[in-house]
Parts: sequence; C-alpha cells; structure tokens
Amino acid sequence: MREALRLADDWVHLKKNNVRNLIRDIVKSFKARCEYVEVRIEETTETSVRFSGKELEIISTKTELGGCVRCLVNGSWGFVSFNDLLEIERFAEMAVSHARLLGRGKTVLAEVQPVEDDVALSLKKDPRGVRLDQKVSLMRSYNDLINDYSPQITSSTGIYFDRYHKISFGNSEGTNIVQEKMDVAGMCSAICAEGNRTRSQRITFGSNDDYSCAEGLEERVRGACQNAILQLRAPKVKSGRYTVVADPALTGVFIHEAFGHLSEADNVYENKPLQELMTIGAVYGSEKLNVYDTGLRIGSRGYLKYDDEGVPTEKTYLIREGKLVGRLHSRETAGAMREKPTGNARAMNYHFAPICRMRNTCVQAGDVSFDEMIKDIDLGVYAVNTTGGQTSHELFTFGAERGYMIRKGKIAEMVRDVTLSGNVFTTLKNIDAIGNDQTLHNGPGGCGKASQMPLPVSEEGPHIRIRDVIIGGE
Amino acid sequence: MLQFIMENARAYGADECEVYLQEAAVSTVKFQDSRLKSVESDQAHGIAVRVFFDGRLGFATASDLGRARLVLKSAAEAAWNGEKTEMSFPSSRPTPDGVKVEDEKVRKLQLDELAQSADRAIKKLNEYDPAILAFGGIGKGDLLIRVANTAGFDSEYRKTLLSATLGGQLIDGKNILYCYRESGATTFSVDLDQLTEQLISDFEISRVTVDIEPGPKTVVFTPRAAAALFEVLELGFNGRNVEKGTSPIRDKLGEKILSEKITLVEDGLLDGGIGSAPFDDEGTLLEPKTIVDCGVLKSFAVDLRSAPKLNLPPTGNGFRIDRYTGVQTYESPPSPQSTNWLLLPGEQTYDEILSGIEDGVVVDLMMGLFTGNLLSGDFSANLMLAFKVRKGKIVGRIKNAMVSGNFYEIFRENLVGISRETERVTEGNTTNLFPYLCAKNVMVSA
Repeated sequence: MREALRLADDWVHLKKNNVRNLIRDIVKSFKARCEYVEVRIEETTETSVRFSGKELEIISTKTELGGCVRCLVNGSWGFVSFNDLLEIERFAEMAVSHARLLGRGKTVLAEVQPVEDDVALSLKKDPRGVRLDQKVSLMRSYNDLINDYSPQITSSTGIYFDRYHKISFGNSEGTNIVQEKMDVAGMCSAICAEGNRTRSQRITFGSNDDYSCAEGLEERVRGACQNAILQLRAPKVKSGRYTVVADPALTGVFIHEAFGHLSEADNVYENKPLQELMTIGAVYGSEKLNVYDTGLRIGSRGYLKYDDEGVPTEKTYLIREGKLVGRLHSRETAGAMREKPTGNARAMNYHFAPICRMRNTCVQAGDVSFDEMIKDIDLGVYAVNTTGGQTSHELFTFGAERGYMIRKGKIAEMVRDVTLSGNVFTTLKNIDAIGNDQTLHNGPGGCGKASQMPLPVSEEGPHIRIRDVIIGGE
Repeated sequence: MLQFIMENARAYGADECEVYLQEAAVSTVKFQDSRLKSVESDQAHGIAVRVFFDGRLGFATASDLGRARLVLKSAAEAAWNGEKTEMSFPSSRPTPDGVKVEDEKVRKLQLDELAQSADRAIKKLNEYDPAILAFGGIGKGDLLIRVANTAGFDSEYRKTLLSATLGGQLIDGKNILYCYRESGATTFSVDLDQLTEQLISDFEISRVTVDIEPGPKTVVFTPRAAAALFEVLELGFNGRNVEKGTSPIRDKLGEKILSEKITLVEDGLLDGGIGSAPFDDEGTLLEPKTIVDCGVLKSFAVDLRSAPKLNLPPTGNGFRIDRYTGVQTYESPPSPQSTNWLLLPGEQTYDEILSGIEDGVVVDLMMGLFTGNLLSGDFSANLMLAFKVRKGKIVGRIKNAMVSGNFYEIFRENLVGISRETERVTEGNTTNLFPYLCAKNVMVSA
C-alpha cells in the first residue's frame, strides 16, 4: 500500500487505481471493527484571479490532496481528516477510537444499493484548457471597463476561480466511486465612493461545466456600473411592512433561507417537536407553491451525481401545492425517519464529515407575468438581486442588492439598503403570485452551515410576490 | 524545507521569496439533540509561497509538503502573469517570551475529558428544562506557524486553542427559540459552567414573547452585539479599503469619527486572545495600538502591500484569514485583518443603563448583518434574540423585528451609555472585550 502511494506521490495526478486500491484496503481492514466505515480521498487544483481597483491583487494556484475516514462504532461516529496519506492506517485507527469514546448511541443508515462508478467530467468549455494569462486578460477587460466607465466609479473588484476536484469514495458496503467535478465562478463589482458614502453593485457568474459563463459579460458589467452610480443618489428605503416582488435571484436566496435549511433533515430526525411542525402533508404555502431541491441540474453549481456518502442525487420535492412532501436526507437521517435517502449528505471538503445540505434549490415557475404581478400594488418594493441571507429556522432574513419602489402599479424610484425579514409559518403563505419566468442563479459564494462554507450551491426561481414583508430601513 | 524553497527560488532567479508553513491538529466533540454524536479530528498541514520575479508577485499553496518544487513552480507561473508590486519583506526577529498563546494544560486535555464536560453541560441544561435540545461542540487545537523570507526573517510559534459552543433549541407551538453562547481562548480559560449559566439565563428571559411598536428607540447592544456591529469599523480601518479609496474614514486619521466616549484598543498581545501572536502571517511584529482615542481615529490596519501605498509602516495586521469562515489558513493570501479589539468600559453598570430606559430594546443576536452595505456603515439586521425594555425592566422577547441604521451616525451622534462590565467575545480569529453600548434613536422595524 505504501509503495503504491509513493509511486503516486509524484508531480502528476494520483493514479486512479492506486487510490481505489488504497481505499479498498483500508475499508477491508477496518470493516470487521465497525458497523460502517467510509474513506474519501480528494484531490483539488484551483486557479484564482482577483482584481481590486486597478491592481491585480491575487493570482494564485492551489493544490490540495487529503482524505478522511469516518466510521460508526456502537452507533456513534468517529471522523478523522488528514493530508498525510502515508499515515492513513493510523488515522483510520484514530477514527475508530474516536467513535468508541462516545459509548453506545443509536444510528441506523438507510439502505442504498452499492455503486461502482467512474464519473468523468463532461464539459462544454474546460477552464483547464484556458491559459492563466487568458483568464487574467478576461478579468482585466471587465475590470478596465468598470474603472473607465465614469469618474464617479472609485474602485472595483473582480474575482474569478476554477476548481477541479477528483473525489474517490469507498465504503464497507461495497460502494466505490471516483467522481470528477468542476466548479467555475466569479463576480465583478463596481464601487462608487463619494464623501462618506460607498455603494457597490455587482454581477455574478458560475457553472459546473462551462468556462463560457465567465465570457461575454460586458453588457451586464456596464449595467452594474450604471446601477452603482444611481445608488449614490438613491434614498434609503423607509422601514415598514410592504408587498414585495422579488426578482429570480432574490427568490432563490429567499427559498434557500426560508425553507431549504429547515428541510435539512439533520435538524429534524431526533427532534420530536420540530417533527410535529414538519409532518408530511403540513400546509406551508398556497396551492400555487412548489419547491424542490435537485442535484441533477446540469450547468448549476449545485450539480452533483453522487453525494459524499456515495448516494445518487435526485430531484427532491419539498413542497407540492403548498404541502410539505419531502426533506433533504443523509443516510443517517433517512434511516432514523424511515424515509428514502435523497443524496443530500455533502461535505465542504476532506476536512469535514458530510451533513445535510442543499444542491440547486428552486421555486417552480407559475403563470403570472411580471406586469400582472405589479399592476395592483399601490405601494410596494421590487427587490432585485441578492447580497445573501441567514436563518434561525423560524425567522429568516435576506438582502437585496437594490430595490425600486412600486407606486400605483408602476416601477418608480430606486432605493438602497433593502434587507427583508420573514417568518416561516407566515411568509411562505403570503406568496400570492408566482411568475412564469424561471431563471438559474449561480454566484461565486456558497452556503454556510456548521463551519462548512462556502459550499457550492445554486438557486433557481421566477419572480414572486410576497405580501406583508418587514423591511428594515430609515 | 522552507530554506530549500527559498534557495531554489533564488536559483530560478527570483528577486524575493517568502514561505509560510502551517500545521494544525484540531479535535472536537460534537453534540446535537441533547446527545453526544461524534468525535472529529483534523490533522493537516500546508505551505504557501509568495515569490517575486522581476518585481512581479505570484502566490501558490499546497497541502502536500512533498510538493515543494511544484508550489514554487506554480507561484513562479503566477508571478510571470502577475503585476509589478512594491513591497518588502521584514527582517527583524521577535523577542522570545513575548505573548502567551500556548498552554500545556490545553495540549494535555484528553478527548474523553472534553466528552465528559460536554455531557455535564447538556445534563445541566436539561435539568433546567428537559424540553431544551442542546447542541454545540467542545474543541481543542494545536497550531504551528512558521514564516521565513529571503530578507532574513525565519521564526515560528505554537498556539493552542480551546473553544466551546453551547446552544439550545426550545419549541413551543410555532415558536422556535434558539440561544447559544460561545467562548474561545489560547489558554485554559474557557469556563463551560459559566457558559451554561449564561445560556440558562438567556432562555429564562426569552420565555415570554411580547409585541413591539416599530419606531426609533433607545437600544442597548450587548457585548456580542456591539462586537458584531464593530465589524463596520474593521472594514473602514482595513488598509486595503483605505488604499482603494472605498473606506468612508480613509481621510479621517486624526479626526473625530465616533463619540468621545469611545476608546478602542487593538491588542495583538492579549494573553489568551485567539487573535494573539508574536508576529503576523507576514512576519511583522505585533504590538498593541490605539485605534480610536476618545472618538478620534488613530490608525489603520496596514499589511506589507498596503504599507508603501499608504506611506505608513506595516502594523502587524497581515493575516491569512479565510474570508468566509474567519479561520487562519495557509490557503488564503495575507490581507489587512484586525486582531483582538478592546473597547474601554464606561462608568455605569448595565442595570443602571437599563433602569434609565422608559421604552427600548436590548439587542443580543442579529442575523444577516453581512447582507448590508457595511463598508459605508449601513446595517439592517433581523433580531434573532432581542428583548423589550419597559420602565427600566426587560419584559420579554421580541421577534419578527429588525434593527437598522448607520454605524458611524449611531456611535458618533446617538451613543448615550457605555457599561462598566465587559465581556470576552470570540469572533472568527479574534477575542474581543466589549461593554454594553446604549444608543438612542435607533430604528426598530416590526
């Protein structure tokens, strides 16, 4: 085993079969002492470029090689991650003793069919085929465009990265998967500073299979410049309760925070009071509301063939016609709740054990046009694009990058600092119109949970109208 | 190996080279739903190389120490595509026996002791109320940092870490209440019993939910809420934002930016502080400095790159911090970062401050602060945990409400009280010491 690794530990990528065999050997020798054992070995190469103002601030490459062993002994978990692969046996030993420390728990893993698979990349345009200087030039062109747009623009940020992962996974039930993944994403922002006011607007891009997502963004970049300048003079939104129309990007973050996190079954599986609130069939929205989370959306940063427990992903409905119909499971949570595993056990990287996470989370399109949606609103806010969000399950909040007042059915003046808050038991029911324009939103950020961030996820949705949303402001 | 990389860099014709090495061993006992669920360890190391060729800067990192040559090659390729960067590496060496950032008692802690402590805390919380589902983790870590450069700096230090998060969830009908407390130190000074007591008192005052009329109110920010809001000042204080002209206080050095009641010190040598270190991640020595003196701005956070642009000396604020998790890592390039912040206490006690409030709010935990335009000081956050004050007394929890305003305006014009009591607040890679801050006319939406 050691010899195989020494051979592999060269300047070239690890040989697939060496890693496969290594995982098989470790699983085999520890199987008898655990109810379950899994080994994951990850290889990552990353290129990133960052402009800050006119300066090329960061140009860097990263290579990571590491692994982890997770085992279940007497119903308790032990997990050890490391990047000295030559010591893998010692670390596996440590994982077993970690699990033993906790004594007797109860953990049932939902059954899944063992899988043997090799998931090669299928890329439209491979970022690895683009030279570093070309990536720098592309980002420089956007950055120059921003800095030359107007004297009112003081600074800029341009971020690009591409990340290639090769994840080898094996467990004591015979699953053995080598999965390649690509992640490319970034953003450009225009920053205006005048006196003590600083305003910025940005555009984002991202994909799991196409470098082209970073190309041809000039029009969008100019739009961000124009909006940043307009934000300098835009008044702060007045604090209060409003009818809000969210654009597709904000709808995505809204549903991610409002219902996605609550659907992660690790919150629920050993929590009786929450299970009672989250029973299958419970009404959370109007009949028009359909919400799902999917690992199958090609082109999205949330795309995933297998999760980090080797479970195939799927399209999982969370809400159908307003009723709760499913949740996001790991094998442990599905086992405990006697439900079907959904392929949502994900780890940020080899340093972490998999936990229940989202993939590409969506509000399904409805049939209302944008004009129809706003025409009856006497006073409201059209909230556009997103600065992120956060939840404590009942309460959640999400930020829009800018807003426009809606007055007497028409889009009126631009406003700034639009941060919205909702309550899961009321706000989803207040969605009373769902647009006919489903759009995918990919950005360079990601989702954070239990110190694991930014996990690549994406969102998809139409415009939606929500009644009675609290907006903080002046 | 560091010397090997630097020698090779020279041999390839590099002008200057810097190597950063990090080794970390971290273990955590995790619990959820009031039971211990897992024991997890991470043993990892990595290197980062910054190299200059023809004045151009490149950066690369690798987890595999055996790949020294590859890292150098990657950094060189980056440099060839990079830009001319004016910057010089430091050469002065730290004095031994400076700051205390390691503790044998932390290092010797056994995992079963951590598990027993966690178990005790869960039991104590459930004795108070069996319906509370406890969650959290207790962890210990051991870190080695070494920085070497071709200017002659080569030094290392070890740091131990002890941290605890203890939280609970209580569901009553359609009322989901979360409370949590966190503590961290480099020395054996995390008091889990105290943390448990604090958490129980958080639950105790959150039992009753009351309505609140929206409008401008007198608001007390607890030490952790105050520390969270002062992230705004961290952004303004950040030398990179000053240099790029985006910090609203970029030209305010020596001017009054906050109330004269506020004096803020940065102490990178605070005993036991998570952000403490003898030198930063670029080899600049740390020393305490005043940031705001009676409301007047005294300094910025300057790293090696910002120094020549600002024409200021580096201030020992060049740290390699993951921008999402706040964790120190070789994977991130250095940038200006704050260390431990100490806001000096005032005269009144917290109770005295409360007793003077006719109709107000105590803000303890805010959500979504980061979604606001913090650079300009504008914030708007959901009140995850906040309380209504009537006639000098806390009368209940408020929810479905937000607090918003401009940081600079509030703490320049509207600050009315600073408490005598301070609390240690662990946030990301720093330990901050903050009092309660009371301000009038802060907008509360509901």
